[in-house]
Amino acid sequence: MSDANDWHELIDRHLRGELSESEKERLAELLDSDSSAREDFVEQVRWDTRLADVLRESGNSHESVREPEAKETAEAGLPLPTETMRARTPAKTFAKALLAVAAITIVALTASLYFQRPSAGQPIAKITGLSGPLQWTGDGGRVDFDLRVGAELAGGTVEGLAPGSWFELTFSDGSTATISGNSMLTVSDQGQKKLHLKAGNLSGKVKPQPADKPMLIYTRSALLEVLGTQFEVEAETAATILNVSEGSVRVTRFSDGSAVDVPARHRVVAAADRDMLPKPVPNSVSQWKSELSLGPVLTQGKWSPGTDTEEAKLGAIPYTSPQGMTIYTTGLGVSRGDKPPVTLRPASRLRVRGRITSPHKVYFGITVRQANGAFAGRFQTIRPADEFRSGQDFGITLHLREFRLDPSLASLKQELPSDPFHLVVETVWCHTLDKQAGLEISEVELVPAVDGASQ
Amino acid sequence: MDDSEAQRDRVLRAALGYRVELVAYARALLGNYTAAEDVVQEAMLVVMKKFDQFREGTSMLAWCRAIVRLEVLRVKQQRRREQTLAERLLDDAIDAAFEELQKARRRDDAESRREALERCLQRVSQRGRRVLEARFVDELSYQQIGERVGMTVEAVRKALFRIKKQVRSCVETCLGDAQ
Repeated sequence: MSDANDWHELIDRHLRGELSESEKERLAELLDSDSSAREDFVEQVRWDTRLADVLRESGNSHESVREPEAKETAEAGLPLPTETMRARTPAKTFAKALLAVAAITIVALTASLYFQRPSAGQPIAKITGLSGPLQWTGDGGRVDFDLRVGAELAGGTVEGLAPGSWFELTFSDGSTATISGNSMLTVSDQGQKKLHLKAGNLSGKVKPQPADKPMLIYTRSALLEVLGTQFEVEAETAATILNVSEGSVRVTRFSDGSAVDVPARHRVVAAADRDMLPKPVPNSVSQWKSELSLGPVLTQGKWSPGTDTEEAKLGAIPYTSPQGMTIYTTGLGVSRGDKPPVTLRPASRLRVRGRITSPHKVYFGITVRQANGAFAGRFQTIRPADEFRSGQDFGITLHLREFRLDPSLASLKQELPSDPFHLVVETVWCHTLDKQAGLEISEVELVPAVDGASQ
Repeated sequence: MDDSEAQRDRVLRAALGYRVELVAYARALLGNYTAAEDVVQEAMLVVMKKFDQFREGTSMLAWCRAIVRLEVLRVKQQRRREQTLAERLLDDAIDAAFEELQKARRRDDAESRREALERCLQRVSQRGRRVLEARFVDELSYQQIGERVGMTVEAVRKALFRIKKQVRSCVETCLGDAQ
């Protein structure tokens, strides 16, 4: 289409709340810098609204006899239009009627508007699981770090602040949404569940939704429509990766509007530069090696590129909890992106190479999930300071049999597996507590060594 | 009717004359027609309560727009999420554009435009009308419209652009003939 068409389409989509962040930026820049764009914008908006007004009014005159539709609306729990809303006659007639009953209308309108709107503080979901540092922003922008299981929430944004963060939300219909690691999710439910996954990983177990009101999940690059299924989705900067365990999910790629239904046990990558074809989820593997030389992809930490004499590294960065405890952490995504899922065997080992500036106790851990995306726990082992030498490289091999459930998940011990075997590894992480020990990681490898094999 | 009631009726009548203009402004800020209509309804209640604060001789449209702007801000706060930087910049740019360029049309001009629009819409084909209603009344995406009327996304985009252009051209012709 031509530039003029694109410009009109940009305005058309803006008026329906369909613009991406980058498109909003573009529109703001155009309006700021170009007086003819401003003039055209205002004229387009007026024209479009006048057209919508006429079309809606003629539609309303037909709707006044659509009793079944009104009944369906009421049964769906939606507010019925009030008489003042439904009988939108031309402004002249409306003015006469309103003026004639001005005093009564104030009371009637106030009452009808009051009953139309959902309560601003009405809970839509409950926290049913959490662990690790998390931040909740809701209630008009109030930030809350002190989240508790059982707390009811009325919509807002949750952010995982560390590789080991985990948060599960259960909606009033029993559907669950879980984020893990450094993820950011906005949730709302005004009669239709709408989730915005800004970054990271979300798994969902969704109860059947009304056919005309599927759960909508927005990422930067795609829209997912879910009617009832189990899935896991990962939002990267320019791509969305969806794995469906049960049912099917419809994915629409924003860049060109193309859509595809992804069936059970399939995955799709929605990215502008990829064919959007669902493919069977690849079989799991039991071997994995980090690729830090390629860049800080799916990592948390301060990444340094390799040089002629140094390998690429990932340095620990601090996070201080509201309770004042500082954790210096690094993390690497494992079964992420469009890679095959990596599962652990009882004989699996974790090899870590890196460097530490000052000897300190180091925590090594993994976050695991079930094949359907459900959180399955964090398992860790601790190595004492005397195993590390000041300012020197270290190489350590850890048997997964030594890994134990993170003590902070003790309250969920009955619900989580007792060991990480046969589960999918989501992230590998290492950290020190309270002291900046200068921990840097240059390579991490998961190897499926059989018992008795050499390391 | 005492002077106060007469003034209130006059102010309210004038404000209601700008209803579509105010919905357009609110819609540009909210990106949703229904939410914009609700905001304008709320704004009209404010007009009825604060009619005595309108200063005769000043712009009624600008006064109402300021009330709508406050109602839009209230709705955005109720949405319980922080606005992104891009959204704040865009809101400021839109506000400035309307402040600069939204001029009040004469009432008879607005009504003749509306009548011309109604006439021109009757000339749109049944299929075209379905596409328009899907977009303007039901606020469906291009993809959803395509599924409803059996067209590709690209065909929906082109059809919408073409029909809107035809209707607009028809309205301009009708108004030109009337003059």
